[in-house]
Amino acid sequence: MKLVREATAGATEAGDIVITVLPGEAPGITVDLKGKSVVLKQFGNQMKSVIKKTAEDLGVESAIIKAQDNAALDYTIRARTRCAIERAI
Amino acid sequence: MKSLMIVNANNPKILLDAVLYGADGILFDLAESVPDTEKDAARLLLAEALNFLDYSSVEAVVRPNRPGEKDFELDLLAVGPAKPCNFIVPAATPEYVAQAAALLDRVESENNLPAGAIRLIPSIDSAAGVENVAAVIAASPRVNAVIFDAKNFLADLGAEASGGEQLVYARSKIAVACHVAGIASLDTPYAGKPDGLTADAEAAKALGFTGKVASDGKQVKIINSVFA
Amino acid sequence: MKNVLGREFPEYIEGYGQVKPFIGAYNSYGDRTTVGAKRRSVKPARQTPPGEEKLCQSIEELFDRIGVKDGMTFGFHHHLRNGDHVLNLVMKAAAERGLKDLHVAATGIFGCHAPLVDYIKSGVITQISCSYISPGPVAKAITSGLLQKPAIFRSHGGRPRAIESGDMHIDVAFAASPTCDPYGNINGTHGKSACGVLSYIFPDTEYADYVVAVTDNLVAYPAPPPIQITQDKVDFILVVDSIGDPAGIASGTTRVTTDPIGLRIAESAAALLDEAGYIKDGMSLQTGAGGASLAVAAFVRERMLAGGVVGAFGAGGITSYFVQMLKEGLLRALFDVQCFDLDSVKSAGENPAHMLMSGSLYGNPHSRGAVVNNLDIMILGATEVDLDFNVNVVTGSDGVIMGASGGHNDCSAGSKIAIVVSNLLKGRLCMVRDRVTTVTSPGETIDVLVTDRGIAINPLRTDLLEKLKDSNLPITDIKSLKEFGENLTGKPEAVEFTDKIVAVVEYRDGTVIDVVRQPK
Repeated sequence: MKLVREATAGATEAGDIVITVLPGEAPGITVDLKGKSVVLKQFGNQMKSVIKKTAEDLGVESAIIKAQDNAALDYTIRARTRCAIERAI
Repeated sequence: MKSLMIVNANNPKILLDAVLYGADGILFDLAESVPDTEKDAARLLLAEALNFLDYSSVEAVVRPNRPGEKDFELDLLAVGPAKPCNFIVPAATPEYVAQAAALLDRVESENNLPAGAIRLIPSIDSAAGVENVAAVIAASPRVNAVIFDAKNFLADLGAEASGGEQLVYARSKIAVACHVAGIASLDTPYAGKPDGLTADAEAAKALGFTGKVASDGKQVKIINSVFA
Repeated sequence: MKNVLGREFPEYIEGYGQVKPFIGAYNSYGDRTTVGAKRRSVKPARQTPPGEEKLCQSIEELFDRIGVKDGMTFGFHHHLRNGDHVLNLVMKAAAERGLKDLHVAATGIFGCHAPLVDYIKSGVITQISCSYISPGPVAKAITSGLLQKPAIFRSHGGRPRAIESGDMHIDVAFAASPTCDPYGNINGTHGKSACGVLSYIFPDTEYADYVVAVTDNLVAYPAPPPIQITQDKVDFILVVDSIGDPAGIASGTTRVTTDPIGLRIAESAAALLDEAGYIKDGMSLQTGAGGASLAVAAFVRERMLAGGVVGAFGAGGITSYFVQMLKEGLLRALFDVQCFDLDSVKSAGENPAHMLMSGSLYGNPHSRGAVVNNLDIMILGATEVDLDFNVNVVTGSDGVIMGASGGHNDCSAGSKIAIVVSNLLKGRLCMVRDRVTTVTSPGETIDVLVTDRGIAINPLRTDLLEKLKDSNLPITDIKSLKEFGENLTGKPEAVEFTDKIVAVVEYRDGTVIDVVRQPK
């Protein structure tokens, strides 16, 4: 699956996350996650891997994914990542 | 089901907390609560939420967009595999109910779900809907409840909302038809001043309704106590 | 060394001293002796050369007359809360005078005290001790290790205990005085900056070497009643333009929540109290100032009205909700350490049944009996609770300082039932943990945790478990709450800390219950 444009999904409200995907220049998926440090210190790795796995499961091979978190749970991260990718293809 | 609380299906925090309000059912709204540009996001979020969060203590009811709009089919196909208890059929006619039932046949067989497990709740929101309510109910064995939508019904009639009296005929007709069919009937959400909710719910109950849609969490307690 | 809760720290902490480890909530009572206090006598005005004026024309004159010097400890109180001007104006003058190595012994530090950060950086302030600190710049500065000596957090009962026992000596106490006369009679409920009772500064006025009334409302002698601090305690008076902004008093969390989930938590806490038999004639009640805690009082009030119950007293920080219950006759008296809003300020000035209590009377364990010992019901908040019911209100789970005990561990130790109310999930964080980041109140003093996802009763309270075994309330156990939360959030990764101790958390009896280390 190839991304052809930049696309965003999600919102800045509490419990949500804004995911922006861009076509990657090189193979591979890079994830840049920002949010409250109290959350990132304890859950940052887990959240990044959810984003990455969601993209991989959709067959994305190359992407730059930027995430701005506001304390989202995994189900929200998956839904927003998938939505951003679907909007980018 | 005494109370069915409407929540915005595109709001993660509300999805997480929805079970805490004491409502018997939760109406996950993909239609009026969600702007056109976010329909795709809402379906995906709701499907993930139904799989991830525990809604086993409530009836999970999904309101898709109107049949005839492109989102209706997309909503059922995206959220159906997450096994909600019911889909609402907005602007219900016998044809729309049959169309929804056929889509669910497909969803259930493609996802190895038991046939007929997902039920339908027609929403009666026009004069024709009221007159044909028995036929709407009979259009699919999946139908296990009916919702009355007074706002759209009055708009269809061209009448301005002016209190309970003008709804007596429509409410009676729906409640009686549901009773005859042996299914639940859920009255329209209340939109007036907070202190009028009890009287409005009591009026619906007096005409035979078995429950009522709650437009937010604050209405749940009152509705539960009226229909208790 | 480890204390009885398994919390580890050195036996000697640089900048704090020798550590007495926590040995259990109720194991340090016994005979005690208090220290003496230095007194300057003041000559009467008939003396020639004329006796002394207590009034100072400027803060420089005040500092000259006291002879302030490096290394002193200044006492402050926080009844003006986030509207306080006194702490900042005193420290500004101290910095301008070139003073160094000062110890700020404030009862509370708020966002409005942000200017302290610069004085910490420049070494004007090298130590802070307080009973409450709100999340903000000073808390961040302490967390990141900017203070030369570790901060010391003491409860509202623990601070007066420390002063009376000599653990902490106050050189100069600054009493923010909403109304004061030229001989130092102080009234807290009158004047443009009225903030109500001045309870927390009482031990300072008894034991400090110098006591200064800082006022923006100098009135003719004698100040109007009720006079809270009398002239025999006060050395000097400093008149300033403004001691504070009363609008800052009701800052933060002192309103009943309108969040339906918070209300449901409060409702189940009130139902639990009723089922367990605590809502009855002669009952007493205290709640924290958080919105959900306050809402419990509202629901308890409904049940008292319905059952015709008359309670004995309400205590602690007082809000308009308690004032209303006093007026309605639902409570016979209020014991007030701090007015949280302007209604309670007014009531404290008018109603004799609305009584001031000092911090020592409130919660000092080494007194002849604190009011918390008479308390039935205590409703509290918490940042974290662990499987042993230990409570953290000091740090976030990332180790960043965001509060301090206040009356938490005094009241949980004294009350017959201590209930923590909280949402189980706060954002992506589950507040029930294997181990709290920092212990403030030991689990043996916490009886019940009421959350939106269920209620857990401390297994030590076999009587409560027995009483509520047939209850319809959603009672579960603390481990199930943790598992429920972690199923949603995932298991948190451990936060890493350096070895640097940035704050020492004393239990109310002066033993060390935990320390705060600098997060990496």
